Amino acid sequence: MSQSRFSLLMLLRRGLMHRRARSLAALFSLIVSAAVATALLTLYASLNQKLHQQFRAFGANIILTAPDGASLPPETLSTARTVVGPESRIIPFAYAVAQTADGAPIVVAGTDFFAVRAVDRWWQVSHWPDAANPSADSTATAVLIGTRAKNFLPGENFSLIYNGHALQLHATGTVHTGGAEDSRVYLPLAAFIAWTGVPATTLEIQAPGSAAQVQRLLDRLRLALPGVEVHAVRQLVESEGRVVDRTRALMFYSLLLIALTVAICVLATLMASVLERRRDFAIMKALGSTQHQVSLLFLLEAVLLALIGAVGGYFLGSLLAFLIGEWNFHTAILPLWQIAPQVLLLNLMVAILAAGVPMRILRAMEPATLLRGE
Amino acid sequence: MFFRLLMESFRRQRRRKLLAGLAILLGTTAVTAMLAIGASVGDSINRELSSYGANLVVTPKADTLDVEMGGVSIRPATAGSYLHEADLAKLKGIFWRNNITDISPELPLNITLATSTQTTARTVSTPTLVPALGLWFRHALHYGAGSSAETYTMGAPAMHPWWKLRGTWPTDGATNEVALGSTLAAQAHLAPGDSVVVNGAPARITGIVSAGDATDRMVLLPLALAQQIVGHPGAVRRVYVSALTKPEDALARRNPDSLPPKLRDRWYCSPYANSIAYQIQEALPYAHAEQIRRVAQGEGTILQRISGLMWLVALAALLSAAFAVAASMTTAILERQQEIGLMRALGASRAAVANLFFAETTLLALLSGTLGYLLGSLLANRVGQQIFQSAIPFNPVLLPAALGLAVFVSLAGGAPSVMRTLRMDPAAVLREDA
Amino acid sequence: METPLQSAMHPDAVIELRDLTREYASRAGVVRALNAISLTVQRGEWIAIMGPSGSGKSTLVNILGCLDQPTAGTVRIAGTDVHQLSRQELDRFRAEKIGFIFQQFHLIPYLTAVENIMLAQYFHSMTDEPEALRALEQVGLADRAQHLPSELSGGEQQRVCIARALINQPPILLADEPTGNLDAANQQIVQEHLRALHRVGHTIVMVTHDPEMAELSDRVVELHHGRIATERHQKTVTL
Repeated sequence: MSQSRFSLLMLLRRGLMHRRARSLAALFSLIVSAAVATALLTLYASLNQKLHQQFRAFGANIILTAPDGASLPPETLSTARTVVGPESRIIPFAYAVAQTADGAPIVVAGTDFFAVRAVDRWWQVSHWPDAANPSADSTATAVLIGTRAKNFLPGENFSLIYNGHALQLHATGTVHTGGAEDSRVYLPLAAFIAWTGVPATTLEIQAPGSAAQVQRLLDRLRLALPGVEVHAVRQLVESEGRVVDRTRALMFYSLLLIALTVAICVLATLMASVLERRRDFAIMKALGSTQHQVSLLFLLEAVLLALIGAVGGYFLGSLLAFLIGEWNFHTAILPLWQIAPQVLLLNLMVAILAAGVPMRILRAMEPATLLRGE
Repeated sequence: MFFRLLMESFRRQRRRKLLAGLAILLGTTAVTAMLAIGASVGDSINRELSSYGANLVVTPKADTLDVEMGGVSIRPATAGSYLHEADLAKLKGIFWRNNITDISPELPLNITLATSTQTTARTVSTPTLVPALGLWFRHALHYGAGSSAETYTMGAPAMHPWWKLRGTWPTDGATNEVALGSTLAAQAHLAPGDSVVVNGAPARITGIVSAGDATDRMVLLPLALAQQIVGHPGAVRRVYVSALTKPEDALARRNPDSLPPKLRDRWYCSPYANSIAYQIQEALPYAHAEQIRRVAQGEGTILQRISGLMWLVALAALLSAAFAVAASMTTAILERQQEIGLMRALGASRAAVANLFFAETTLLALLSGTLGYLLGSLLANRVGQQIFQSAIPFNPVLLPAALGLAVFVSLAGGAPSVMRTLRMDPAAVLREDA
Repeated sequence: METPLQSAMHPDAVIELRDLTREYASRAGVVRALNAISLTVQRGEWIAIMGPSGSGKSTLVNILGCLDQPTAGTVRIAGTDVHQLSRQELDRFRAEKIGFIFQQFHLIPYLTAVENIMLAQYFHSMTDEPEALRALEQVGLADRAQHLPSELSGGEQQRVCIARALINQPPILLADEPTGNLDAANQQIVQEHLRALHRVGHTIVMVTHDPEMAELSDRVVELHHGRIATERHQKTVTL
C-alpha cells in the first residue's frame, strides 16, 4: 500500500498538492510577507548606523585646538590616535601666514593629504600631489593651491617666504571648496613643519556613531588631553541626531503601512485557499468530524505554509536588504540572524489570523447548504 | 438590467466585496501616503539640514586674497572691495527666491574693547584689540513695492541655529548694543547687561553667544555699527545664503553657458546649488556666488540617501499593494464562479459576463481608491505634522495616479480568474461546489 | 421477516419525529419548509420520501442527518433527543449513527477511493485499511481502491460513497437521491446494493424522485408543502 498511515499530516499534504496553484499562491504571498518583513526589519535595524555613516560626508565632527591659537603639544596627534582608535580618522592642520614674492600675505597650511582625501570629500581637487611620484623638479615641494590663491600666484612653480626662509613650491593641482581653503596653499605637514617650525595647530577628527557615541569620545579625549580644547562641531552633531531620528520615525510608519498591506495580501490568498475547499469541509462535517479537527487541519495548513514562507522569505528579504544597501548606501547591509525569529513569529501570526477569518465564515455556514451546492 | 445587476451585486454581496474593497482601500492609502511623503521628504529633510548653515556664499568679484586662520580674518577690513547691503533684497527676486530660506551678511573687522565703569565698580581696563563681526540679527528685508511688497526676517541667528544665546540679540541698526562670544566674555568677566566701550563709544552687552567655534572669541555687532566703525556705510564683506537645493547630479556640474538652450533651461530651472549661485550672480553682477561645498555636497549626499530610501519604501508599498489587490480580486472572483457559470448557462455571452465583472471591479476600485486617497493624504499629513512639524499638503495630482493604479491593478488582478472561469464549461462551473 | 404492520408496533423505533417544524427567515418573510411532521421509522425499515421540489424533502434529510436543527418539535434518533446534544456531541453522534449517501457523491477529490473510506473511519475512531478495503470489495471495487474520484465513473463513485456510509456500521443510512446522477446501468447496480443492505437489516431513509426506486422501499411518505400528504405501506420483496 502506498500509504499505511492515515493522518492529519497526510490529509494536509494531499490537500496542498491537489490544489497546487492555489497552495503556491498562498505560499507565494507568505514568502512575500516574510521577505518584506525581513528586508524592512534588517533595513530598519541597520538604518541608524547607515544614516550616521552618511553624515560623515560632512567631514570631521570633533575638533581639537590649542587654547588661544597656540600650537598643540607635539605628542597630541599620537595620543589622540590611541584614544579614538582605528575607526576614526584624524587630519592634522597647521597654519602660518607667509609672503609671496611681491610681499602679499598668504595663508599656508600643512596637512596630511591622504587623510584629507578620505575625509573631506567635498574638496574638489584637480590633481592631488602624489607622494610616491614627486614632481619632476625634485627640489620643489609638491603643494595644492586654492582656486582663489591661484590668481595671486605667478604660476605652477613659485616660492613663498616665511620668517625669512624661502621655499620653492610646485603646485600639482588646485583645490576648490567654496570656503576658506580656496585662499590657501596646502603643503604636506612634514615639509610645512620643516619650513616654518610651526607644529600642528588643529586636529580634525571624523568619528563614527551616534551623538551619544561622539559625546563619549569627546569625554575620553578631554581626559587624555588636558590643556587641549576639544569640542564637537556642534551644528553637525546636533542636527545629525534629529535627521536620523526623523528618518527612522518615517521608516517606522512606512513599515507599519506596508506590513498591513502585505497582511491583507496573505489574508486574501489564504481566504481563497480555505473558501475554495468549503465543500471538503462540509463533507468532513457530514462524516462526523468535529469543528476542532477541521479547524486544526486548515490551521496546520496555514502554519506549514507560513513556516516554509518564512524560511524562503528570510533569505529573499536579506538579499533584498543587501541590494538596497548596495544601491542606496553603497555599503553592504548584512543579514541579521536575530530577526529570524521575529520574522517567523510575524509570519505565523499573519497566517493564523488570515486563516482564522475564513474559518469563522465557514463555521457560520451550514454544511447542509454547502453540500447542496448553493 | 446591466446596471441593476451591478447595483444589486453591490447591495447584496457586501461581505464578498469587503475584502477586495479593503485591499484596494489599504493599497491606495499606502501608496498615496508613501508617494506624498516621498515627494515632500526632500524638502523636509532639506529644511532640517539647513541647520548646518549656509550652503552658498556671495563675495565681491574683484577681491583680494583672504588671509584668514581659524575663522579669524587677519587682514584689516578696510582693504578689498565690498558688496552693498542695499542690494541684498535683490536675492529675493531671483527665480528660486522661494528656496532661499535665509540671508546673512557679514562684515569682519577688528575693534578695541574695554570694560566700562558706568555700571560696575571695576576700573576701566586698557582697550584690547579683538576680532568682531557685523551681522544682521532679526533684520526685516523688504522686497518689491506696492501691493506685492514682501517682508522677510533674516539674519545670523537663523543661519546658525546651533548658536546658544544667553540674553537677547542686539537690535538691528542700534549703535550701542553688542553681543559677546562666550570665551571672550568669560575672559573679560562680562555678562549680559554689562557696559563696555567699543572703539571709544559706550555700548551695552545684550547677550552672550556660545557657538563652539571661532565666534566665541568675537564681538558681534549690528551690521550698521560695524559699517560705521569701518567707515563704509552699506558695506558687506560676504553674504551667506541658505537655500533649499536639489542634490547635485551630472547635469548640475555642467557649465550652463556651454549647454544647448533646452538643457540650459532645465539646468536653470532646477534648484541646484550651482544654478541658484548662477542666478545670484545674475542679480548681483559684481559679486561672486558659489556653493560651500562642504555643506552643499554633504547635504546632497544625505538628501539623496534618504530620498532614495523613501522611494524604495514607496516602491515596496506599491508592490505589496498591487499584490494585495490582485490576490483579493482573485479571491472575490473565485467566490463567484458559480454565479458566472449560472449567467453563462442562462445564455449570457462571455463578453457580457466579463463586462459586468469589469464594470463592478472598476466601480469598486474607484470607490475604494477615492477613499484610500483621502485616507492616505490624511495619513501623510499627520505623519508630516508629527515627524517634521510641517503638514504635508494634499496633493491633487496623486488622486488620478492613485485611482488609475487602483483600477488597473484590480482589473489586472481579477482578469485571470474571470477569464479562466469564462473558459470553463458553464455546466462544469455549476457542478463545482465552490 | 418483518411485515410493515409488525414494524409499526415495534417498540424500538430508530427515528421518531414529533411535530417537526423548520422555518427559514428569508427576504420575503418566513418560509415554513416543514410543518408539524410526525413520523416514526422502525429498525430495518426502508422508507422512501417523495414529493415535488420545495416540499421539504431535503430539509427533512438534513435534520435527520443532524446537519440542520428544527425550529420546533423533537427529533429522537436511536433513542437520543438530538436537540439535547451540544455541537461537539452532535459531530460525534453523526459519526456514529449516520451514514450519508449523496446525490453528488461528495468524495474528497485528492483522496483515493480507499482513503475516502478511511477518512470516515478517521473521524469515527481510528483507521483500519484492511477493513476499508473489505468495504470496497463488498461494493465490487476492490481493484479501484487506489484510484482518485476523478478516475472513477459516477456509479463507481456512488459505490465508494455507499462503502464509506457503511464503514462505521451506523444504525441509519441517509440517501439523498442516491441514483439522481446515474445512468440506468449504474442505477441498477446501486439499487442492488441498497436492496442487499436492506436485506441484512439496515435502516434506510431515502429521498427520491424516482417511482421505480420508491417501489423498492417498505413505505413511501409523500410530502407536500412541508406536510405529509400520503403515507403508504407497500409489499416489499422478501426473501
